[in-house]
Amino acid sequence: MDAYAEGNTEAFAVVYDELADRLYAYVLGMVRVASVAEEILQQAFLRMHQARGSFAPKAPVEPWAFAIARRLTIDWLRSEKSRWDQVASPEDMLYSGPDPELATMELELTDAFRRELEVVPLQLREAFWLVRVEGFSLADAAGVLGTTAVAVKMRAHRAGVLLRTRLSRFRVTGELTKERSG
Amino acid sequence: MMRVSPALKGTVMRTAAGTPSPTRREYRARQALWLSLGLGLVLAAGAHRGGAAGIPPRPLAYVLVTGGVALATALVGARWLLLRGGDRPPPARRSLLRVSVGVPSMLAFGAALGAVLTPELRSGQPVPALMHWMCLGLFFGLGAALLWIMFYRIPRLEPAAPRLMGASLGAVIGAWVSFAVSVQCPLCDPAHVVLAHMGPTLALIVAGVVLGERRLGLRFERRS
Repeated sequence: MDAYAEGNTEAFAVVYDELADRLYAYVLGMVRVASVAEEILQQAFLRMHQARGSFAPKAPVEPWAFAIARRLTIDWLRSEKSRWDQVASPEDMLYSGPDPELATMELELTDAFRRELEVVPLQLREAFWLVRVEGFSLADAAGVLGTTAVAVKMRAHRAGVLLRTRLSRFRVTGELTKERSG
Repeated sequence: MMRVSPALKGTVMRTAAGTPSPTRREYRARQALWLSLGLGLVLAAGAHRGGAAGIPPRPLAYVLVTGGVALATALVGARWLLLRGGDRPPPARRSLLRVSVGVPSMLAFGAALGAVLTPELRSGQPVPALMHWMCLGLFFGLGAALLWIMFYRIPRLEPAAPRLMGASLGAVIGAWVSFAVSVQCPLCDPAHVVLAHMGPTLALIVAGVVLGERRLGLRFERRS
């Protein structure tokens, strides 16, 4: 991002490649509709492009990018409150990527996890996602969520407890842990 | 891992290429230009009646205490917003809250200290209403100009806490304006100082909250 802020236009593609899938998964986890997640992602990248000049030198780009995507997502959720109950079809939920077989395997491994994560309240879910899935520090996650590190820790913990309780019925906790650490 | 459609990358890159945005160097040049103009306005407002030296009835110590505390607060706040607030985006909500609450508190402290150190100034003589309005007019006129510069001429993105960032900017602008008004006003009446030199900072903080939401925050733009 630093190179892009300094004027290297080709660096934007590198930033995109680094962040796009991660931001997409995060946004999709909140909006649950693939087409909307892509729309939000597109707007997030364009806002990053427009604000590149104000990006602080040598600052980490992830918290900034996630905060932008989150704010756009929350704005969409607010405007779509009446349609919040809309349930996406499985096809809409997942873009299977260039290797359908690999995508199917990933789906089998993480399907239960994602299904249960969707049941977790949004505030807890996004803290859990940033800390446990994206590996953000508590301070960075707090910056993204606009709250304190202590609050993020509590939310992620509560989400983890909820998930463990629900996933224990499926006996897949070990596989998910293994997948995350891998 | 869920993957985003490859076509989206092309769309984003094409749109970005067709939408010019300032590089860091261009942004800083613009920032320096507008901040210089803002500082020039503050200095001109502070000096337009001759400044502290041009107003003999006031003890210099009083001017130094009230104006000095305001200037120190403004400098610390501005330095924080330019440096501390930018080195780790997005800035912590707690830090923004400290600025929003700390700046008016420091200004009130300066006013109280000035009144305590120079008890002879509390004469109890009535202050003409026109004097109140003149200081308030200067405060809000200069404040509006600085708000326009900070929110419209030097745009920044504040995705996590736009309202708090707006409040912080409003507070720091209030400190700068308070410095200018304190230096040029011939009155030392504590009530006038609190009402017309420091108090309006709260209004600038509220304006900052509103402008922060509108100018620094992000809105999802619907295409259809």
